[in-house]
Amino acid sequence: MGDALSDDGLLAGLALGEAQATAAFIRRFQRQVFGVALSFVGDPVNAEDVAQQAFERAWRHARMYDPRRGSVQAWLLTITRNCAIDQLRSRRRVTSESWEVTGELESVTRGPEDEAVAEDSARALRRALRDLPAEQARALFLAAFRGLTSPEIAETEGIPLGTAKTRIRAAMLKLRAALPAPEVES
Amino acid sequence: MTRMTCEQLDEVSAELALGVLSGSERALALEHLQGCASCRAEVEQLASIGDALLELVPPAEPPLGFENRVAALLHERAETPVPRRWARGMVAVVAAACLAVGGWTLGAFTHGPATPATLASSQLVQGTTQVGQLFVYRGHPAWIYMAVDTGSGSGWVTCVLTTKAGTTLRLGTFRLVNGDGYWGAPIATDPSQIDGARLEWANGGTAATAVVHA
Ligand SMILES: [Zn+2]
Repeated sequence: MGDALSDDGLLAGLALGEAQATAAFIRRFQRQVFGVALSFVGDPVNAEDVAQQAFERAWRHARMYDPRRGSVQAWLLTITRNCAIDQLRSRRRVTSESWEVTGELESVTRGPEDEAVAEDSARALRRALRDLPAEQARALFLAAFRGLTSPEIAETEGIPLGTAKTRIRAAMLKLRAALPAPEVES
Repeated sequence: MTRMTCEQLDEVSAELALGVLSGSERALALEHLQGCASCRAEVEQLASIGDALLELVPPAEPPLGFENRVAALLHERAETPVPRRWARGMVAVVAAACLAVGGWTLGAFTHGPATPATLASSQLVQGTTQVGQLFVYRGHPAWIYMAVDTGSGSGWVTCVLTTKAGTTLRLGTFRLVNGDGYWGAPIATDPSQIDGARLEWANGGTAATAVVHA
């Protein structure tokens, strides 16, 4: 029954602690949430921990969700990222390892099999990512999908801190320029 | 630490939007955003791109039984009585304070009634050196948020508030990693009565203090 509800409807049910809506909410979003958690923390055990925390925070803070600011999924994935970054900060990973980025960057920019069904904005974003100069794409990838700070990126890439910061920023500005102008909030 | 200019904010806006700015810089950036609408608009736009990027991450199948484990966890949490000050109506506030900066959190921080008149910021200091920023939101409900970077020391610190009447209130604990951390919580006491805050290490040492001005 819960599976027929809209995302917002499920979130409302989750906030009220309604069992069916809660189960349906988890079922609907768990793969996306787990995907983001895994991207940031790298291993399934820690990723499950992060994904569980993300659902718990979403449940606790469901009433703060504001549909004017984006979809339920976008909100939930932002929470997931924040949980992941919290976990990473508390265990300070080793950054001397080299990061394999190329293959994974491809998986992010490839998109669904049927690109035609993807939303325009997601398509534009993927295209903009693909068009970034390689070194900017790497820096952005490490920050946006791995949660590395600019000092960590500088260390792992063997570049000055200022360069790491500039690359992240330049990449974000290019993405913004490539996207359709956001709707003005009322 | 000194106040950030628009130019300096500009340099870290992308990192702030992606949630990867360290505690001390984050505190300065948030302080700047509190009083600068144009930088706020800039960061919000970048944060929405950061949020949109997350939707590009390929989904992954969670381990077997994940759905049931999460449902059980939420059920268990719902059964546990929550202390009064964490009661339901506080959720937005707690979320604003506890979730790191992202499109939404930033929104909660910078929209609505959180004007400079109701959102007071004070420096967290160690002696005469600023090591962080403390925000007291004097709305309903009231809450505090802080970001600190003392440069060294890892472990748990307790946030202790002092009031004009001379009482102290141990509000909660959070972790510093190499001196770096951020934390927030709702406050049950009248925020206009708070005149100071102190972060105490578990061994009783002081990590930072703040004087809160009315
Ligand atoms: Zn500014």
